[in-house]
Amino acid sequence: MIKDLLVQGYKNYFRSPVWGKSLAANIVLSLLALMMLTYVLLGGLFLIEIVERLAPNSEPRTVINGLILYYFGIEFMLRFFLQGSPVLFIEPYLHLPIKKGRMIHFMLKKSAFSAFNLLAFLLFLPFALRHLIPEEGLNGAIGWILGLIGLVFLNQYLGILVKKKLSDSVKSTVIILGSILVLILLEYFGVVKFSEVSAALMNQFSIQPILSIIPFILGLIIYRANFTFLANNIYPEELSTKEKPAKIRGDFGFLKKFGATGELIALELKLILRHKRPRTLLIMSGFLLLYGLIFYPQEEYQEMSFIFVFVGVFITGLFFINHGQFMLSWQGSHFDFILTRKGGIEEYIKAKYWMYTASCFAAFVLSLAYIFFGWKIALINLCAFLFNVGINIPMVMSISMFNPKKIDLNKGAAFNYQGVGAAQWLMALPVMIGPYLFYLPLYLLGHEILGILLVGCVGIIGFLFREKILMKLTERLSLKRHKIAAGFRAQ
Amino acid sequence: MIEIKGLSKTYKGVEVLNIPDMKVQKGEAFGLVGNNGAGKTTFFRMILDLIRPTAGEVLSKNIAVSHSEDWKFYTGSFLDESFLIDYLTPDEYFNFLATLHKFSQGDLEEFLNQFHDLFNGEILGKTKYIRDLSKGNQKKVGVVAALMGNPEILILDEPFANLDPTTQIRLKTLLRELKVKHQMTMLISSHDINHVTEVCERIVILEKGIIQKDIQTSESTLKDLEEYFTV
Repeated sequence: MIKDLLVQGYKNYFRSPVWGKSLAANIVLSLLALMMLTYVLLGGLFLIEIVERLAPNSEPRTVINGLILYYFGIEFMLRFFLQGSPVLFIEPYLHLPIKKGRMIHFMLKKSAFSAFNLLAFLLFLPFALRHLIPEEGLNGAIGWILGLIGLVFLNQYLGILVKKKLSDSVKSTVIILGSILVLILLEYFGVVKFSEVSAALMNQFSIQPILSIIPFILGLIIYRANFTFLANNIYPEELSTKEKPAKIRGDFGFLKKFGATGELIALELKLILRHKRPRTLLIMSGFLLLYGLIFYPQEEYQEMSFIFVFVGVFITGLFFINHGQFMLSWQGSHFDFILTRKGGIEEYIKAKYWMYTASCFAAFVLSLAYIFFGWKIALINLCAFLFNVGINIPMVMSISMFNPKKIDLNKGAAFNYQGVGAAQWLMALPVMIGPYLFYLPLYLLGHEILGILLVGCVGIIGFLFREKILMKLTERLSLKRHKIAAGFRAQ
Repeated sequence: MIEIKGLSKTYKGVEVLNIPDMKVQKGEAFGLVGNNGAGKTTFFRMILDLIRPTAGEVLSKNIAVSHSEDWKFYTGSFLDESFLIDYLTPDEYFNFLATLHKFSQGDLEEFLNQFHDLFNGEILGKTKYIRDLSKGNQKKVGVVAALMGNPEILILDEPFANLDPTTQIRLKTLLRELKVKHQMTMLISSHDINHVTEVCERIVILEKGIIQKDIQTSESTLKDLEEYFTV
């Protein structure tokens, strides 16, 4: 029975429609994950040296013990945002003759086999082996390690419980967020020093190994709480992570003035606001407007001002780069609808173009605040904006037509590589390199401002020829429409 | 066999189902008809403890379905595709169910052999995943899966929809046989009043979540139903 469920979990993963099609993305991601784990392991192996280098006057052991609670705080956040819910898989089993309790135990236990649970060991186990065994003897080290395992166990199930409770009711959300805030404030105002708490706690584990049972007991209590909560709430409509029908009622009536194109833009805006993934992308694009703050205030970047062109393209173009790379995929579930409408493809292309242009314009207007760092930055951003509108938008639209994949609109956007194919990896290159083709030669000859203006002019020329460009894009999509539609239907 | 007590479900202040009291006897074939949105599927979901009632409860053999899971062991059901594990092939799915019902390989083969004609050579021994089957074939897999283990209660939502005419007739015969041979209690919803009157001896009309009519099938039932639904 357990074996059956395990095999099915594995099949669920490897037979998912996106798995085979995004094999390249999966390989790259696994390599990245492996690299991260290696870094963590290296960090763990040289933890003592690193601490000695960073805090030369203190005892590494106190510092490391003091860091552990913070580490678990960060791990908790990582789990919260990245770890999936273990119960999604349960729905098709609910009507079968299997006890719910058995399924829930299975899911909860299975969730313990997660890479997150390795992190703490990679990071801290070498320290225990290198430092604690010689200093505290075997018993002390074992107590310390058991304490660490207990904390991992506790954190794992606390993460699941908090995530479930947060989506449960407003009251529990307020309580959880409130207690996190209180903890942060306590630390900030120095009422409780968590580094001291952490150091004392971890020290106790090595002094009195028997105490390391406490986190295990707490962990078991939390596990039980998880179990009870799930057992009482395991109704598909209550568990589903699909967003409840959004309460966004905006009709974007003002767009109707712009005819069919306007209607389509209104439709697209509704799609964006009413689904999780595009909505997260939109919010992310808003936040990344602050990207400039990393570069503009730094003295050292003033010398390398050529980098600002890249920053400008990025800031003013965030939304269309993020959204446009999946231009067709957003409509993957109703692409046939678009193809069968009157004026379908032409209007569709037009609507996308104007929506991206408007988003660039909005981002540019907001980025004007950076004028605080000098007029040159505003000029660069203006020219980058023009280049985006004239050249980059059509380019992204064109590249996105290369073998688009269907995506699930209701999954989160962070670390979601569904729909990412070769085209999406390659897209960044022309977008980022394009402006430098015009800017760099003049910059190297010492005419930087001329270079910036040239980038802007090229953009304006592109914009003036937009009708022709849009026609070409329409033709391109018409040519590929059968292949693309078949691809969407097959997924 | 099944008893409904003051069952009601409310979504955002709108009551979508309200069934004060009702009983389904053992061996009874119970047909549920009603237009879209009448609450048929919601009703069945509550019988299967897939939706939490706002008020009231469903008893199966005198035990509330939300309190004990015993009913799962004598109830076969298929409401929609979410009842299937869609990334398995039909063979894998049946095999998994067989382990749940403690069937041996021989038992399973014998069981599946009964449906040889129904499957029409399109389901067993293929490498297609359930999610890639047509709607009709998915339905066949779901209905057969519901019949495994010789359940005492069978709950099917729209079993005739999406099926080809031959299969519809086969399924109808099969259901009638099960009723006669095994005294199976059946709850079937359908938009097709023809089929449902042929299979069921009791018809309940649901409209906007409320029972409008509860009649024993007779010669004139089909006509009555047609009249009722003619606006």
